[in-house]
Amino acid sequence: MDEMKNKITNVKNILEKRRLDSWLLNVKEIFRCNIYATKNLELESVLKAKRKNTFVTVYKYFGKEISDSSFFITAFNKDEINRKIDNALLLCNFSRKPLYTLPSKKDCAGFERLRENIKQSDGKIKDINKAYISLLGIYQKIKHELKKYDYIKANSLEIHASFIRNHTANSMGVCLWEEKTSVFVELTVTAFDSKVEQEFIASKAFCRLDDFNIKSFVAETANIAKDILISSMPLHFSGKILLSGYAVSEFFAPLLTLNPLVTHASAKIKYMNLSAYEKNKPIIKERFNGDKITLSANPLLPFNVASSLFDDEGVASKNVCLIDKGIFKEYFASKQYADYLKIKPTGAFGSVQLAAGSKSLKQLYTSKKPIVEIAAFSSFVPNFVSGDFSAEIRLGYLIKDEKKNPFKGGMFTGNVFELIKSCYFSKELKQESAYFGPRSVMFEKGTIAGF
Amino acid sequence: MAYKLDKRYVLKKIYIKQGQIETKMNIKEINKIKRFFSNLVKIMQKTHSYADVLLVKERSFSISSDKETIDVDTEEDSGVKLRIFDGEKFVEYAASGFDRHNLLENAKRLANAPVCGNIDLNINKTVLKKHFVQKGRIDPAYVALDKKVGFVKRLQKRILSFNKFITNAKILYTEENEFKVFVNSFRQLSQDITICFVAAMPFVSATDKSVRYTYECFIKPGYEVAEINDSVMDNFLKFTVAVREAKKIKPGEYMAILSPSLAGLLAHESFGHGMESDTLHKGRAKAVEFLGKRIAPKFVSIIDNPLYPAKNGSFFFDDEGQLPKATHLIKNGVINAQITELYSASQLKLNCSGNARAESYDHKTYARMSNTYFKVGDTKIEKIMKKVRNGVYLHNASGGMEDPKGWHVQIQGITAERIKNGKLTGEMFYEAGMTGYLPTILSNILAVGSQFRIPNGGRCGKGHKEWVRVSEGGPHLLIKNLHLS
Repeated sequence: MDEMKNKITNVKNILEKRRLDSWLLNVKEIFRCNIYATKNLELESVLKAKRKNTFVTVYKYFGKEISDSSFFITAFNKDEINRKIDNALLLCNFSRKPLYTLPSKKDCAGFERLRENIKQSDGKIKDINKAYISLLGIYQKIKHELKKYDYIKANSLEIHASFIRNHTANSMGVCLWEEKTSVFVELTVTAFDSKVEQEFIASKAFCRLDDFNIKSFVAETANIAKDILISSMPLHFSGKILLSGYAVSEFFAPLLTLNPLVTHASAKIKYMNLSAYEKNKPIIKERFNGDKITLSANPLLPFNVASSLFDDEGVASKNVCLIDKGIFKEYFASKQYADYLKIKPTGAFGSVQLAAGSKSLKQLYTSKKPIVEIAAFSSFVPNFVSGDFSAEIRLGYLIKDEKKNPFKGGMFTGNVFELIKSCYFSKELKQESAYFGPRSVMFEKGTIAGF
Repeated sequence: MAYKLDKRYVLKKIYIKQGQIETKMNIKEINKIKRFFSNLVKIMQKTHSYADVLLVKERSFSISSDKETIDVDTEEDSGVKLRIFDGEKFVEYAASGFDRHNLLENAKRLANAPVCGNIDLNINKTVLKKHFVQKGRIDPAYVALDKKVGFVKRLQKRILSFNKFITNAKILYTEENEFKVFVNSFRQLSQDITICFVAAMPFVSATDKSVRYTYECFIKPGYEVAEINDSVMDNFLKFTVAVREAKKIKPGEYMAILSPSLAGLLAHESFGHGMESDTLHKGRAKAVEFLGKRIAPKFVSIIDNPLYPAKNGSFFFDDEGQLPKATHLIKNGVINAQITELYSASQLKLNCSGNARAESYDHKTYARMSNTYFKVGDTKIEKIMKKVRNGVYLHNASGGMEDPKGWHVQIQGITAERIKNGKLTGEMFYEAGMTGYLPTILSNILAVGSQFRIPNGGRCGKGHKEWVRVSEGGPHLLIKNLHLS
């Protein structure tokens, strides 16, 4: 840690000496310990790694324009750093854009209080050698738990633990540090009977080892795999569709793209003239029929892997209400785009947080007409601008006459904005990585393209 | 005292040799690294049957622009991974940079790791020392910076001025250089691969007042990537404008022609992942029940080929020092061979195909696809079109997800066009999804086209992580009863 701090100080000294118009320094250290187990959970590999990314952005002012160019430092010697600064200054001549200012100390006001109050790391994971012992413990416990389910065999298990140290500083006096830990567990199992085998991949991400309930994680995985095993193919369906489990969090916080509800709240998208939202106006033109969505970008959830106390520019993070009861309230913005739109920057994005709804889970599941419940998608990747999507269903249930019949396959298709016009969220909430919100959501008018 | 700007940079025609000192490392320097790594391997192999060292250096230079802003950046990432096999598992240590002292210390530490088992790895013991280079016709390092920026700006202007409904466009020009050194007790290999991309993502305001986008990507090993054919760009922009009126497709079964892009995605997502040997070894692949069995008509073959020249998934040796070869995943309709990495190939008693790759030096190696495509057929596209009285042409898609155990297909974000009486009608469909059972889809292939393209290039994940460079493509495919929604 001291060696790295000295290197960072030296880089800052070099940047200061160059008397640049402005500069920004990002340093990310990742200490990683990963365990990989293959068939029957035999160990295949153990990896320990140390990664250090040091990233500098230099700025040049040209009257009402600014330009910037970024580079990585791999060799911490003075000549090499100066050469890269020279290169970047040259590249700056080609990247002029409308003027914006870098974050200053006032954009980090209250940061120390944030660091005191918002904890993000587990002391047991900070040291990769100690983390390795903990991961072995998780590995053994999962192996032990799986033995309770004679219809399940384990295909693979990966446990990744990281300790991350972030530092951002700039020429305006911003100097921010944070430490985070995260653990990611991915378990692949196959449920089998005498005729058929079906697979399910379960995953969980958390900051603290104590937040991981191995017993219930394995039980949930085994139950899902069992239901997939006995599942049939779905028929076409139009009507009430309820998202639960993995599906609800993936719908609102997709893994591979932004949810379009969030995209249009981006200051950058607004600046590009692509946002459909207008401040203090409803996000959809038609009337809401059901719960009106309230959605925030919350980077300050304690012990959530998506949380971050500041963004890459050095703006202290805020919990931002983007949509309040269906009305668009605020953009999430980097300093650059905040300046362009003349609004306040908001820091890191963090997790998608939704407000609780008006109905209990029991009420959502109660219906005279059939309901489809989707518990897991193969992969939910909506069009991040238009909101259109079609996602294959990894596990769903047709709920009819109080019976739940599992199915697999078919596509949940539609448009995110269309669906939220008529929906109800559960009162009960849950928190996972990058999502904090209702345990379930019921879309009144959904469509499954079946067979 | 302020550092003085090097006067070379104030010349009008400015040449930046991106990362000159590192990328254009001379053979002497490379051999010095190899000798040092050999020493590390010797230390680790005092107590273990197998050890290797992998150096990865990745650099990129990019220009990205939209209507209002332009960014010019360089990126760099480098590190070394040491690896031993203790008889049961690999034990790996990775660190960024190149700290000889740290590497030596950790090689000694790994040498002291206990021996845990007696699994035999199927190591290729052919001695080989070689340096490979991939470069294009025009070395981007010698193209003036203002020329590159000018190209991006002109392309941006061209796209925005094409039609009033195109409201913005994201353009990305990237040069990527990947330098790797691999050493074990039999191999001392190095490769220097350059690849250049141009990607265009125009946004168009649709007739339903929403915003839609399309995407096109050009890949070449050198700056010749900027020589984009006018008619190709015009066709793409016409396609973009046509998408503004696209409707939702009615769910159902269709006679469909898959473009080379979509055919490649089908080969990659829906089949290729299920033929990765680590997936098969873990008991996760349905393909194990079908090895050596027919799954498609005789005229259908799917190939994975890391040696296909100058594509996004191309390389000369994999991250375990294996020289790759083209693998027929399906040969003449029969499931044929798997793509492998060392651990699972050893367990399954297979030869290594040279497909082991990791996302980066600090990630584990897996069996990964490279350039995946259907083998070219002999039916001209015009003839294929004539076979379709009422169907759809699938232009492209945003991506897909694998299901190696269930063999269910998921491809989403498809842009399609109706075909009527053998002709494209201009009636477009947006954001369709394809699903179905893979053996059914493959057995429903009626024709394979005679024109061959590998248009796509991107990153492939194992699930939602472990991203590596790949490409996919092939000929047109005519498939009946394709389920779209």
